[in-house]
Amino acid sequence: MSQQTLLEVRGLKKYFEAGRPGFFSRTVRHVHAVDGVDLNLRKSEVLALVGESGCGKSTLSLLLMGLEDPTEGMITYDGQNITHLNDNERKSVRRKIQMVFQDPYESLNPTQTIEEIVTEPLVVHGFDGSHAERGEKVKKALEDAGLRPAEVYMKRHPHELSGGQRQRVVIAGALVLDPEIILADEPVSMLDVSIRAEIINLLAELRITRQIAVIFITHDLGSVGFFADRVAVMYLGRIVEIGTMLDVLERPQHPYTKALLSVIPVPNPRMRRERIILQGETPNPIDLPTGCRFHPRCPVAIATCKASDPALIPLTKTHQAACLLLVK
Amino acid sequence: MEGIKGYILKRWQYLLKKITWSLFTILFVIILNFFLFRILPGDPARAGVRDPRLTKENIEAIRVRYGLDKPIINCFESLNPIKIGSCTVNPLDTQFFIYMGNLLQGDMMISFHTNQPVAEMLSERLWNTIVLIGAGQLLAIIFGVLFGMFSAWKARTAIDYGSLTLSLVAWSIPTFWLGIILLFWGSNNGMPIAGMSTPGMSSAPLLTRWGDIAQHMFLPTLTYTIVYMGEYMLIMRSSLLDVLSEDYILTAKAKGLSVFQILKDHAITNAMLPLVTIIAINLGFTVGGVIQIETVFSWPGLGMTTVEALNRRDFPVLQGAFLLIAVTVILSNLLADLAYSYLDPRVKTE
Repeated sequence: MSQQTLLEVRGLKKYFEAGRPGFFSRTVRHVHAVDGVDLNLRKSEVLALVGESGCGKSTLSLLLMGLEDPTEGMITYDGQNITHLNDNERKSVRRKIQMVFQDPYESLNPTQTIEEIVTEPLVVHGFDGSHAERGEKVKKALEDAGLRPAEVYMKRHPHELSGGQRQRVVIAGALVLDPEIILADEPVSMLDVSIRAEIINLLAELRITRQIAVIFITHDLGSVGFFADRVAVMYLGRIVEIGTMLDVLERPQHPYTKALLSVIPVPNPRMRRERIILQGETPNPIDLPTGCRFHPRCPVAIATCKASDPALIPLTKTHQAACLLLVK
Repeated sequence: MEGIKGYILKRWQYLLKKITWSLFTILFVIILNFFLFRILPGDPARAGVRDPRLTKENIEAIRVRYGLDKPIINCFESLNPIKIGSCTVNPLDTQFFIYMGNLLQGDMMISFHTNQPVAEMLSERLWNTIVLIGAGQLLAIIFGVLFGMFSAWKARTAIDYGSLTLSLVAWSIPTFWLGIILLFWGSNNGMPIAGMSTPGMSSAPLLTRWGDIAQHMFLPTLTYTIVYMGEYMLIMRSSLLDVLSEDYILTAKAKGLSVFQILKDHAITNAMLPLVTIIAINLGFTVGGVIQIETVFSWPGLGMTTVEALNRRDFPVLQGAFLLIAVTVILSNLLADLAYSYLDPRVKTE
């Protein structure tokens, strides 16, 4: 694995307006969807982004794709600042960062054939080659995505395919542009359990055959262990722990990560573990708690947690966590 | 490909089934209409002629002339144990069988009132209606779709709410009321408000004559456009809003398509689907449904003819008009069905 950084995110913030607290009030409240995220992604690396629903992971992916404009912070791709670009400048970056959405039943236009769907990105990005070359490229993308032989699928419409096949079509639509990064936003959560492993395997295969880096967004820590190099855990718009897969899954340091890991079902029924069940709901992202944003639900919170907000603390070379208890 | 042959076969079977059903429906309509108008109170032989000096012999002569002296239908002895109606008559010499027999030969008989063949009369009137509906529908579709798209694109802004309110109002206004208001407004501004052309224009050059018809068409077409535009706008807006929230629109954005490309290739093709069905069905219904507009503006179309025929108990014209309306409704439904399965690939394989 090369150490070259491909995508870098510094202090990224996205606030959405949430209306006024009262009819006559002059101040506008904000939803703190993404609230200061630092990340970097190396070439052909798989980074898993884990968090419960509403923690801002989908907003983060939209920010990285340039589909939402960040409130603050900076995104650089390959040394180039891509935080605020206009549509024309964005186009070349779009080729390099492609996205796979959660629901394959909604992310394909029902009136187009598979061939049209996979060809369209090439047309949009002005692929200059003959008709036959374009057809070859589309065929290769489909076969790389596991739809073999491609001819069988090309003339079909999305409704004639199963969920797993549809998700492969979505992936083929991303592959056809030869991207460097694929952003997969919960790509398997709408699929049958039996097909999930196939799609995850496909993504794992692609980073080897095509050197594609994958940002794998999920709420399911269980599927992460499979193939991620590094894991980032998000809570309320911020990354609370990040490290290599073994760091986070075997030696979790943040109480939130520990709680998440403790509730993953274990296949062996004799092996009993103590489960940490978090109390209460995720706080409202409009009125964030003071101090550490996890303290109202934290089982090991101390008095200072209410007052000061911890930054990510480096524990080892690869492992960082944001918890006041880790400060030495 | 193996499936293609089977698919075409399936398509033909489907079409055949649809056509068979349509024919049965038309037969039912023909039979129902025949009896429906004969249950109406009033005597066709007297409704046309209001002269009090009309003698019994005259009335009888009119009856004989139009075949109204014959029994409506024989009693069908074997099917009808109570023996209602006259059972002694020759079943082929009844009004019902004469009507059916003529219809099978393509003859819709002669109007009681104008003595013209009904087919000739109706085809002229139908043409006038088609001109009116054609212009109105075209304008309503164009403006409705445009406003709907604009509204959906600017969703939840003042523009959207404004055009939404206007469309709801336009759609809810009674057609005849809007017609009367526009008629007043038009007459104040020196516009022709009745009929299809100015008397004495029939010998004018063709272009002048057409210009005259266009002037007469303005107010009825405007009424029609306003009413149907509201409906199309509302449907287009909600349909486009649905489509714009789909993930494939987000995917298209992420792939770098421009706003125009997204609208053209992904949003509108999908959003038009529900609208196509409604337009096709509306086409059928409005042939009969422009009665209000035609009556308010004295437009010599099918709707006004129907009202006049009803007042005079002119059975052949009524039967002919109702048959024509039924056929257009059934045909346009068939058309909607075919158009939909052509536009939406998901329907084809079912």
